[in-house]
Amino acid sequence: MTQQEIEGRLIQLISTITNQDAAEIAPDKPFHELGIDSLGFVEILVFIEKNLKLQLIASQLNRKDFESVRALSTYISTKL
Amino acid sequence: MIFDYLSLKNKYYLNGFDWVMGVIDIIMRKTTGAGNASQVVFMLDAPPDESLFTASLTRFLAHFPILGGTVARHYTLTPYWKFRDDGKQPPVILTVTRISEDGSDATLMDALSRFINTPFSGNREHLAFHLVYGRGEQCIALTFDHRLFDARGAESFMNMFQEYLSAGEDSSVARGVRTTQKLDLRDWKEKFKAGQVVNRKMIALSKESIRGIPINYDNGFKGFRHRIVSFDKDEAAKIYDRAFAEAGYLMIMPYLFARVFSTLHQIFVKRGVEGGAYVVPASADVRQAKDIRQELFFNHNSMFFFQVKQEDIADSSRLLSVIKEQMYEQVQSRFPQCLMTASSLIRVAPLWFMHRVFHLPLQGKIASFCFSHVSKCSYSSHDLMGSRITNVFHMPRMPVPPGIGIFFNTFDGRLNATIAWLEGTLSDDEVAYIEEELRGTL
Repeated sequence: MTQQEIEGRLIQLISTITNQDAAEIAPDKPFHELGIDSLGFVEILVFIEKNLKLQLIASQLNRKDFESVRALSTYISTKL
Repeated sequence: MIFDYLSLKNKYYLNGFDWVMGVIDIIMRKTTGAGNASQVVFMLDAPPDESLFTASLTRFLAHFPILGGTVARHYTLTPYWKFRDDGKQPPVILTVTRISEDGSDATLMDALSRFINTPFSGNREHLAFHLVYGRGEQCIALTFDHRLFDARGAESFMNMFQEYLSAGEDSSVARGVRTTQKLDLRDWKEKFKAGQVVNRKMIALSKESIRGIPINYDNGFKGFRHRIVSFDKDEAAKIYDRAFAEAGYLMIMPYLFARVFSTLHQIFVKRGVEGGAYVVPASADVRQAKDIRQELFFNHNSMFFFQVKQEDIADSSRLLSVIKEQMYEQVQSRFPQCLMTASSLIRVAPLWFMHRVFHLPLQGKIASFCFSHVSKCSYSSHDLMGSRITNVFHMPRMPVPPGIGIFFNTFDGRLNATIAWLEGTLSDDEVAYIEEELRGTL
């Protein structure tokens, strides 16, 4: 799966979690500015584990990896 | 203005969680003399006009016959909210209190405490608005029956009132609010599967006894007391930074929860309450509509349940890991959604019966304390009735037992922690200790 495809799937998921249109979700915005809270973020981590078979909750992610949807999808694409 | 409820003969079918709220209402009436209510308070920088308050609210409330509704049963036994259809004004209480002129040494909090502990009368009264002029401070408080609104719903209702004040009949009130809900008598297989998930969790929770502070039901009904611990924008920003460093990105809820756990654990230890594990329910918003106005009335919440053992509390990083793992596991198993879905199965049971069976799986101890963190404020304006809002906080009545709860909310960058306790469950010294610990450790 390419970085763009991962980004697209994450945006769809965020759109469902935050009840916003996917088109309104900027991939370079930080998650907290997109209206994601603790629960929403755990939902994203569960989605990644279920669909991309990557367990991120216990991984050594740093602040930069979570900067935005784009940063996270880039990180994921390097791990697949 | 045309509401779509007309097509459903003024009925809103209650979901399972609304029914649970009804059960808690009965439990609380029996144990505390007043029902399952809460209060949202808007602190204002300047005193609003009293006549504008009563006149505009009276006009606004006339748009909502739902407010004077009662619970009834469909022939399928599904409970529904029956709207008042006699064309009369909904029976909403409006009060104006002038503390500065009453000659007593009462405070604004004393007045707010009195409002939240006053039971609604009859079965059609579910809301009360209060304008309070204090000494150098003033507020508008909305006391609401939890069967009608959850916390975000109440904030949104106030938001709608502010829009109505600004735009009148062109406001969102005129655009309509969804006040219909289907019977939901389908997908039985899915409901029973969800019931299995809930059942497994409840059995797991009931394997250990629940640590709880005993409640003394003697000497008549007791009221709830509240202490608001407020953090300004700068303090809140520092708390978010510490939460990031210790718990991880966006993990503010587990961070606050862990701090509350550690603090209350000290009180339990000092009281000599030992043995068993802590079980704490934490509410979760499960709204799905893009527009909150479409899920304004009734309850759109579910619960997480956290179980923490004594040995997990001593080490703060271990406690954080336990909370995060349990949150992850419950999101993975869709526990809050399953609880919401499965709870619709209990709607056929009468409330008095549910009140008795509610205690069974956990032998009368439902939880050690309650926790809630509302991360988004649904009130989007910074003004109310021409005054600037300086803070918004909540004063909930907690289910009894446990009768103790910590409720976090945010407004305009501020973070508030409300400590709510049934009189007698915590001493003044213990509440002061909780406040001190929250201020010192968050």
